Amino acid sequence: MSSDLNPALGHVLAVDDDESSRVLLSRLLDRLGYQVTTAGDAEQARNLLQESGADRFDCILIDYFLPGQDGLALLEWMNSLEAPPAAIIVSSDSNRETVRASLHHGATEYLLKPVRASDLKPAVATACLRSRNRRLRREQQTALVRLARIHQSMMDFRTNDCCRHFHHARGAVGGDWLGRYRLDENRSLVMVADVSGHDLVAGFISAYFQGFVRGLIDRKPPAASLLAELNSLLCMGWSHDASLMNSISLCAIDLHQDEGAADIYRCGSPLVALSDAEGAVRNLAYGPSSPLGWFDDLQLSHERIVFAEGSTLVAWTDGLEALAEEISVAPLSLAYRLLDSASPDPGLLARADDDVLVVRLAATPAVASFLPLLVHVYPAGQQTRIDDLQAGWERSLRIALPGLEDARLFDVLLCLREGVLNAFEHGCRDDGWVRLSVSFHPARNLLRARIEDPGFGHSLDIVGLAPDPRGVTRGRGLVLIRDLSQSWAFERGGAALRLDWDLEPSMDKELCLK
Amino acid sequence: MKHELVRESKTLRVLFAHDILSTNAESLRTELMSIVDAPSLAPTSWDCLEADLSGARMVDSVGLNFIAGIVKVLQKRGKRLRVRTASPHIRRAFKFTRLDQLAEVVGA
Repeated sequence: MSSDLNPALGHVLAVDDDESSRVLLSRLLDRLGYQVTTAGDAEQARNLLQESGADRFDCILIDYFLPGQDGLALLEWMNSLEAPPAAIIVSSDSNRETVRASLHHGATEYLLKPVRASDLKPAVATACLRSRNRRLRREQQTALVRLARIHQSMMDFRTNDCCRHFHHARGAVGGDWLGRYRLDENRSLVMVADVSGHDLVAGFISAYFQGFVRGLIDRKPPAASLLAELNSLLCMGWSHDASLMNSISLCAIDLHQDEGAADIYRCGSPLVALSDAEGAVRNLAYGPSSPLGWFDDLQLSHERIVFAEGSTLVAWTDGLEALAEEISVAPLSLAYRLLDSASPDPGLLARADDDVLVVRLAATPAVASFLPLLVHVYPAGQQTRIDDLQAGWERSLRIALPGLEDARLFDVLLCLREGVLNAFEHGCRDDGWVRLSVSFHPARNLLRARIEDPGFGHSLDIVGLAPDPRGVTRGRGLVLIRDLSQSWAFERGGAALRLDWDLEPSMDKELCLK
Repeated sequence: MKHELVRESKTLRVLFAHDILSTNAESLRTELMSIVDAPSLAPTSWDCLEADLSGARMVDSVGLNFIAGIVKVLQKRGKRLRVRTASPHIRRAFKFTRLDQLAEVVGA
């Protein structure tokens, strides 16, 4: 018998229309240490569950044959509750079909009358445990959902005109985070970070470190010192126990608005991309680096850049990189699509195996600028792979600009192909390279590509180049480049070629025959 | 490379199932010439080679050179080339490089 000194093992609701059965069950359960409430029919049971709340009971014993609504119907009704107590069907009917139907409706056990204490004890204990576990999972799920909303809200809080981001957590809560801290009127620090893992643990560590950074920021430390201190904390505090090993891949962007400059620091994060006012795109801070928490002596990759009017920086966590690789597109193209789509493509994100975070910073948000779509640096000798390279450009451009018409796309692809092949053939020795970058200016609807090599350039005049219809075959590639692009220009003495396309459907360039 | 001889119009039709690019132009040339020079095909049974490019989305500069080369070979034999394509991109490339003056270009 339960009491204040011996709290009940659980609270059981016994539903039976036969009074003697109710009395027998009550006595048995009381002796076993349970608190008991009884009901004479399904309607009484429903009223008790609704008025007191289903959480009040840990187990419900239901007679199969009840007047009015039978035991299975009551069981079916209970299944519509959010977290119903586990149910045991009690009956004198040993028919196999009756037993099967009861279990099929969700009963945890089927006991034959007259019920023996030796059968009742383990059945009720199991049912009570199941009920408690079900409630615990519901509480955890509710907490997770709330945590995810807080996490997302804190990230959205940091978005403004200069800073645009896209975040997708693989689970309810992820370890990716964006921090933006104003150090003084001319300096701010942006952190794009990825805690190892993408579960509740990662979310907790992420929140912990955000608070830690917030505390350190008040001292306005140099970014490199801040990162060293974070690394030290992680190495000493968490990672000395190998079973707790954790790490943070992080990119810190220290913006100096008055100087029109920025310091880029990478700690094991993907490369950061910069596009300037002319739409030239390059990757930054190439050097090797390690995530925070791996090594006591932190290896940073650092680059200081000009971050002037019309420039744009894009940084992302490796979840974006992995997703881009999964669908075989350039990370920057995928970043553009995620940042600039009215609504994200759920089919696309369903393929993400990790949290995805991408951040874009504009040096001067009031000034419309080029946004980077892709940048590739190919080592010499890649011309044999030109078909694969071209297929990759096509996939990337289609994902970034899904409205791009096929006719215009093929003009772009053909010009890129001809330009890159020319660069490989004529501007690139064995140890050379070819860089292809593409950017897009949404306000002008202008696509711009740049093809560069380390060669000495040339003095070729392609303006006057006109193929002889009687069969001259040289120069057709350059003629295509000249005439299929909206405009073109050689830079660096011919070692770089800039091509533009107006993506307005009506802008179809016609040949002016000389 | 599928092909058929249309005797009524004395046309040898050849289907190009893929793009004509720097990476496959040489093999396409070999394959096409084996059709054109096939002993079973009497030289007088056709005077027009119709290249059906409906399977191609793109022809690059080497592909255009291939087309121009085919025109030369056919011209030496007193024959002509007709290119069939619905791709506005390919038609534009032919126009800009004046290959439409060497070969008849028609829609698909």
